[in-house]
Formats: sequence, C-alpha cells, structure tokens
Amino acid sequence: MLSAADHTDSSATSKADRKVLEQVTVSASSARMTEHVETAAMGKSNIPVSMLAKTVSIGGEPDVIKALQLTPGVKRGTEGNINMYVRGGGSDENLVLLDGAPLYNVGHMLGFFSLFNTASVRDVQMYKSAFPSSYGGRLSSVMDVSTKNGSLTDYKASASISTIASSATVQGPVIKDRLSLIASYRRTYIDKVMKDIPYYFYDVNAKAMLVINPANRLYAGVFAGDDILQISEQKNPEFDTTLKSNTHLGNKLFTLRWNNIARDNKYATDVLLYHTAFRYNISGSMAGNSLDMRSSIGDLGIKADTRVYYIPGHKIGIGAAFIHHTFNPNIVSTSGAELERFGNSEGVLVRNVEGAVYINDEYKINKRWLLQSGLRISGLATESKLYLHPEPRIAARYLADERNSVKLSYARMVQYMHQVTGSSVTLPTDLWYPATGKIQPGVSDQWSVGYYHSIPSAEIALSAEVYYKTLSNVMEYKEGAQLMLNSDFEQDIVSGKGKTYGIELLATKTAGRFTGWLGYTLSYARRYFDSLNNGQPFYARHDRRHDISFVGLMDISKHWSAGTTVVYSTGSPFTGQTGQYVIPAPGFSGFDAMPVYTSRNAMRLSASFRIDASLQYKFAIGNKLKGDLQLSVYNILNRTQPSNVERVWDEHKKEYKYRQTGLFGTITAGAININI
Amino acid sequence: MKNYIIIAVLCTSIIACRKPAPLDIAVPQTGKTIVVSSVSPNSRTLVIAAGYTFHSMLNADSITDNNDALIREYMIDSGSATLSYDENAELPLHHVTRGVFARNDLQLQPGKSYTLTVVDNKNNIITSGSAIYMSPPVLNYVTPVKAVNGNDTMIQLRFELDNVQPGEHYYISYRKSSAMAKAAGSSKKEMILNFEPKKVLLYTGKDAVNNKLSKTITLSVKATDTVDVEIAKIDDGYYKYLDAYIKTGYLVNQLTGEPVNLPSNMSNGYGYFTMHSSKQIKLDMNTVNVAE
Repeated sequence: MLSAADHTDSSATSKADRKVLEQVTVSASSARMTEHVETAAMGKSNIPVSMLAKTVSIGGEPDVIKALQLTPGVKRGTEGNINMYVRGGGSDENLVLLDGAPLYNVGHMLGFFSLFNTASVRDVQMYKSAFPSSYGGRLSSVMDVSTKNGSLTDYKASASISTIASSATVQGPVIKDRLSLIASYRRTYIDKVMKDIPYYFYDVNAKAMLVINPANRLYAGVFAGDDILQISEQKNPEFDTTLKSNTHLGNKLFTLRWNNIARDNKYATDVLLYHTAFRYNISGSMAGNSLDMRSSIGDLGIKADTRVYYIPGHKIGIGAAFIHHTFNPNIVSTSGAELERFGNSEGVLVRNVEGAVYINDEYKINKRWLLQSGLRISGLATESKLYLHPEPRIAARYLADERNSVKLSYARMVQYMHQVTGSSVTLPTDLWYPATGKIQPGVSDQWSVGYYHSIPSAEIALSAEVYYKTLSNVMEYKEGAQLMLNSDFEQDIVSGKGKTYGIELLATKTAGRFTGWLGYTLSYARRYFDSLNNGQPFYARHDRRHDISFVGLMDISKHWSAGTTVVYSTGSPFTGQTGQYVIPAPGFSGFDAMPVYTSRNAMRLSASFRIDASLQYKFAIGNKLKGDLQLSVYNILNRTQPSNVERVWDEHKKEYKYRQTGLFGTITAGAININI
Repeated sequence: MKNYIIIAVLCTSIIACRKPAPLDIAVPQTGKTIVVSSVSPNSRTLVIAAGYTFHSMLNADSITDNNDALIREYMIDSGSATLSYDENAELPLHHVTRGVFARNDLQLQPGKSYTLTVVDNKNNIITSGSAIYMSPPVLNYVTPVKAVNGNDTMIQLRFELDNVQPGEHYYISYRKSSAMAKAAGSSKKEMILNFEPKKVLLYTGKDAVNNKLSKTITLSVKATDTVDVEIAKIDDGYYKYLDAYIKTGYLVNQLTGEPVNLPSNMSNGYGYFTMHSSKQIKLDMNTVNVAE
C-alpha cells in the first residue's frame, strides 16, 4: 500500500510533485477516514508512523512507542520510560512484534528509548481491544511493527545525527527487481560525550526481500541490539576499594517469511519462522566480593496464516502458531564475605511449548452490519501440566451512515508467561516467568463499545470508546519478596485479579497543513490480591484517573514546520510513609528506625503537566540531497513530572519533609537528517 | 516570519537544559500506636519495652541522641503490662521505668504459649500478642577460625546444633565491639541505618541431617574485635518477622520493592513480642586460632 507518510516526509519538491503528494496524502487520509468508520476494528491506533515519528521526545530521538503513549488508553510509567500500560494492564501484557516475531524487551537505556529505529519502521498497528484471532499470548494489547523493505530499483541512503545518537540507513537492489537489501544502524555516543557515564547502546536492522515471482516473495530479517554499561577502576574514597562492573543486555531476532498471493487474489498465505532472544549479564566485584547474574529467554517459533477471499461477503483467515520457549532465569554466582550469603543459583531451566490454532471471519451481513468473529484455541505444554484455552473474539459494526458508526466487541486473551516487576520501578532485568503447574496463565476478558464519526471535509476522525476489562491470574511479588538473587521465584510470587474500566475520546486529523490529535482518557485500574494489602483492593501503580494529550504538527511554509505536545495526567498512586518507630535490633546489636506505611498505593502523586515544542527546517541541495534540521524542546515549562517521593531534611523546619522529584526538566536537542 | 523563527530558536537556546525544582507533598501522619519489643535471657526473666510510633518527619537520630526526650515523649508513662497463660493465669509485669516492664521470677515453659497485654492508660490504647517460649538450642560445638589477608581479617564460625526437628527455626545474630563502639560515639546515627545489611542469619530445621544442623558462617572483623554471637531457637512467627526485617536491609529492595510494614504479632500495634533464650558465645580475635 502506498504510504502517505513516506511522501509527506519528503521535503523540497517541485510544485507539481507537491500537488501529487497532496493528492496522495488526501487519498490516504480518506482511506483512513473510511476505515475509521466502516471497519469493525476498535481500540486500534489510526495514526500514521510519519506523524508518530514527528512528536517531540527526550533528546530529539524520535520514538514511535513514546508517541503511542500520547494516545488514549496507553499510559506511561515513569517519565520517559517506554513501558506501556494499556487499558489498566501491566507492562508485560503487551505483545510487541517486529516483523511478526515477539520482542521481550523493547527498551534501551533502562527503557528511555525503544528498540525501534524510526528510520527502519514502515508501519505500526496498535490494538487495545477487538483483537483479531491471529494475535494472542498477551492480555492487554498488540503492537505490530513492520520494517521497511529495500527498494528493488534505486539505491538510497539516509543519515541522522541527533544530540544523543546517530543512525544511518542504506538500501537498494542487489539484483534489480528481484532482490533488495536494507540495513540500518544506530548508536548512542553518551559514553563518548559524557565520560562519567560509560554507557552506550546500538541496534542493527537488516532485511532482504527476494521476489521469486509475482506471486511469491521471501523476506529475511535480522535485528540485534545491545545495551552496555562498563564501570571499572572506580575508587570508592570512603573504603578505598575498587569497583568493577559490567552490565550487558541485548535482544536478537531472526525472521524468515514466505508470502504467497494467489494470482486471482482469492487467497494469500504467510509462513513465518523466527528466533527471538533476550538476555542480560551483570557482573561486578568490589573489596573481595564478586557477583555474576545472568538470565535469558528465547523462542523458536513458526506461524502460518492464510486469508481467503473467494466466498462472497466473507474475509476468512485461518492459521496456526507454535513457539518453543526456553527460560533460563537467575543464574547467580557470588563470592566474598558480604555477598556469599546470597548464595549461588544454577537457575531453573524451563522449556515449554505454546501453540494456537485460529479462525477469523469478517462477514458483511448487509450494508449496515458487519460482523467479525473468531476463535483462537491456545495451549501450553509444561512438564507437569497441559493448559488449553478457547479464546473467543467477536466484534460488530453498525453503520448508521457513511460518517457514523457504532461498534461493539468482546475479546478473551490468554498469557502463558508473566514478567513480575517491583511495583516501584520496572527494570530491564525484570524476569519473565513461564506458567507452570503452580503459576497459572493470565486471562483477560474485555468488552468495549464505541461511537465513530468522521468529518471528511476537514479530514477529522472522532471516536469515543468505553471499555471494561477483567484480569485473572495477574502476578505480583509477595510483600517483602527478594526481587533479585532469587533462585526460587515461585515461592515469592502471588496471584490475584484485576478490574479496569474507562472511557477514551480521540480526535485525529491526518491530512492538511495542520495534523495532530487530541485525546482524553478517564480510567480506573484496580487489583485484588488475597495476600497483599491485607486482602483489600488497591489501585495499580499505573492507575491515573485523567489523561489528556494534544499533539499538533503544522506546516508553516515550504521549508518550515513546527510541532507541539501538551500532556496532562493525574498523578500515579504510591505508598506513603506516615510514621516511624525505634526498636532494638535482634541480638541488641543496635537500634533500628522502622517506617510505618499507608496501605498499598493509598496516596497519589501530584499531576503531571508538560509542553514540548519542535521546529523543523527542510532543505535541498541539488536534486539528490534532501534533508532537514530539527530543534526540539522537551518540557518547555521545566515542570517537575513527579515520579517518586523522597524524604528529605528541611534545614529551616529542622525536620524531614516529603518532596516529589522527576527525572527530566527542560531538554533542548537538535538533529539533522539527510536523505540521498 | 523569519524574525519570529529566529527569536524562537534564540529562546530555546537560552532555556537549553534545566532541572526543575522538586515539588513538596503533604503526607498525613498517623496517630500514636503502641510499639513493643521484648527479651527473655532465661526462663525466669522477661523484659518488655513499650513505646509509641512518631511522625516520620521527626529525625529519629536526634531523638535517640537525647535519651531523656526519647523516654519522655515516646515511651508509655502510664500503663501496665500483663503476661497471661493457660486459661486464667495472669502475671502483671513490674513497672521498672517509663516504658519498661519486667519480671524475674517467672517459670517459662518451653513450647507453651504466653499472651502479653499492654495497656496505655493515658491514650486509652490496649494491645496484645502471643508468643511461644523457646528454650536455648542444644549446641554441640562452635569452632572459630581466623584468616588474615593484609588489612582484612575474616573469621569462620563452624557450629553444630543438635536435636533439630524439621519444623523448627533458628537465628544467629552477632555484634562486633568495633561497631558497637562506633555506634556509642558522639552521634548515634550509625545505629539507625535501615539500609545496612542486617546482622542476623536464619536457618530452618529442614536443613538438618540426622537431627544435626551444621553450618559455617564468615564474618569480616577487625583484628582487635570482640564478637558476641547469639544462637537461638525461635517460633514460626518471629522467624517470618526476622525474614522480613532482614530484607529491609537489602538496598535493592529499598530501591525497587514495594514498601510494606514489618509484620507484628501485637494487635493494632508494631514491633514483635518474642520469648526465646539463647546460647551466647564471646569471641576475642586476639585468642582465636589463625587458619593454617
């Protein structure tokens, strides 16, 4: 499909070119308007990648996940973090696919940047409800990212230099009209610029496309990304000791996809083979003590999917998927007087097989009614138990007229693994645990209803969706659980239930000189655990009552464009300290001041409010070289975005006080992008 | 238009990168709640300390630096403590000083449950909790071995407990004279560190072989230290309390874990009422053998 996004990115063009591009843009936008009202899809992001990539982000590094966090129903975690909390679900309940294969850690730099280099991203589909039955394995959302295919006819190159990272992309035909290749590389230079922070990340995307014949294509893709933090010879003046540490996190992904389209366009088939892996290794030594921690998760998967179009009024999809999971969490070795007491752990190697078969049918009953129904039967074979779950999905659309429609949907999703995190902070080292005989798979049931309206003359799409979702077998650590160096995770995990509901309002404008969106979310996310918070319900850490986001992008002139983002959200809940007491330590080896806390998440941080702005100048040198200069300002008002509460000493009052801190203030960044 | 753009660029350059001021937040404080701690050095003696919680905005270090203020403000001055057992037997504990109640003519029976009731007449608060008295463990041997490596001195302590049953729990605590001397100095701040590794080790009877529990622990000490080691059998509730208490000393849990109150066996109160007598060993580093 011709992407309007790709074209609107082009800069200096002739008047004729611009006219054509405007027509294409309007055409693509009209198609989006039609899809918005006429399909049965609900809870689906309808915003093109080109718009997502233009939203202002920290350090000027464009990021599609952070942009999606500005859409209704998708909450942010800690400021700047790429973790998503969709419709009250946890950050592990999002299925993130890159060219059809799952990724287990989608963040760089403790999650401040996503793995997705926007230079290589072709399309992003985000589902929050009404999930097609071809998707499964997570409870709350699906984010399907497709990478670009290399050009079969022309050689192209692009480069981007921003304040914290640079990237380059090359593409072109290896065999003209038969075999193409595209490769992107991105690296930060934080370690080069700031010598005190010996950290960097890089990622590589490469994809080959072979046109076997007009009906058959073969795609081979690879992604590799690593985060590396190396500290060495750092003196600790107090103890005169030397600290050495090495932290290494990384993803690897290989995909091979065969695509077949019947010559009469009556059916299409995709077969995907993939291997995906995430692992981390943290080692350190100081004062005769040493620690080495490793964890990994890897999948070998195969997926086949066929879409059949030859029955009038029906679009049928059938398929199957099988994944062999290998979990190898918490391999720990320690030595030295201080660390030996944590013990060593060989880890618990777990292998299991997850499978699913599914069928989906989109049936146009008449002009007004469209029914999309599906059934996915998923299962997991563990050493001790076989799980089997039917996952019914149904969505219906009633078209009142060409501009108005009402949609309803129900979807059950099942998740056979959990990533349990400490509720205060999520870390890339948070472990994925499989369902076992004792740890049950998570199940979600979501009902949603929505009203959709389009204003074609103004290229505006409006929607209002109400959802209600129940979650069962969601996992949390026991109170006081040991989060790291834990060799028996099943002992420290407890299961509970969740209930989330809310309303989402969204207005988008995807064509014209002014584009952007305005979104509002009212939401509730509660958790129910018998063994936590004395059995009383509590709000999830990411529960935020109100959330308003505005993104505006304006083409001021042929060369200049500007953008702004305005975000307001209610503060997230936290557990506050409301007192303290002094008691003698066991064995009378001293005294301890012990805190007294509120019940879990009983208090709330102050609201966040932030305005970002950006300015872009597009230029061309000759006919070949095009580019743009960007200046972006994150948090232009320099307001604290509260993310945690500190207890600090107040010199004036001679007592402690509580204050909220954020991670970032105003950050001004620049970038230059070149396309040849 | 160009002028506006130039002005916008200049403005953004001026604001560049800044860090915003933190925002204050009010955290409502709870009222006074009774806090209990106890010690029973032998089967005849029980000492109870009963105080109050106080606002988290107050500096605990300054309170403990001023013992008079601590006793005056944060210990129960008008109240009583009673130990009850069987159905109707009650023994009032003697009021020793403000907040401290004791009795040294008890005949505590190992394995028997006792209930402590503390009444605060001034604030009209009553709290109570139960504990099982645990006699000292049977200690077959304790063998300390010293290892010296440059300025570092390590001591390995091998010990064996006898008559250990699978459902039993044990703890070892230790205090070093150097650490105690440091804490007893001009400031007591070192004594009130929540985040330091807790000097308590826990064991369960399921690790015993032929009813014998053999362990070796390693302590980092100073060459001139005296180390007091205490080994005790404890009940299940106190074991869970100590398990949670130890985790408060894990820095990683402080940073990433969910803040939770320590468990307490006192109804509507904090602290822990425990009754266990321990074996105590004093180790003088000057006399401990050096490993060959």
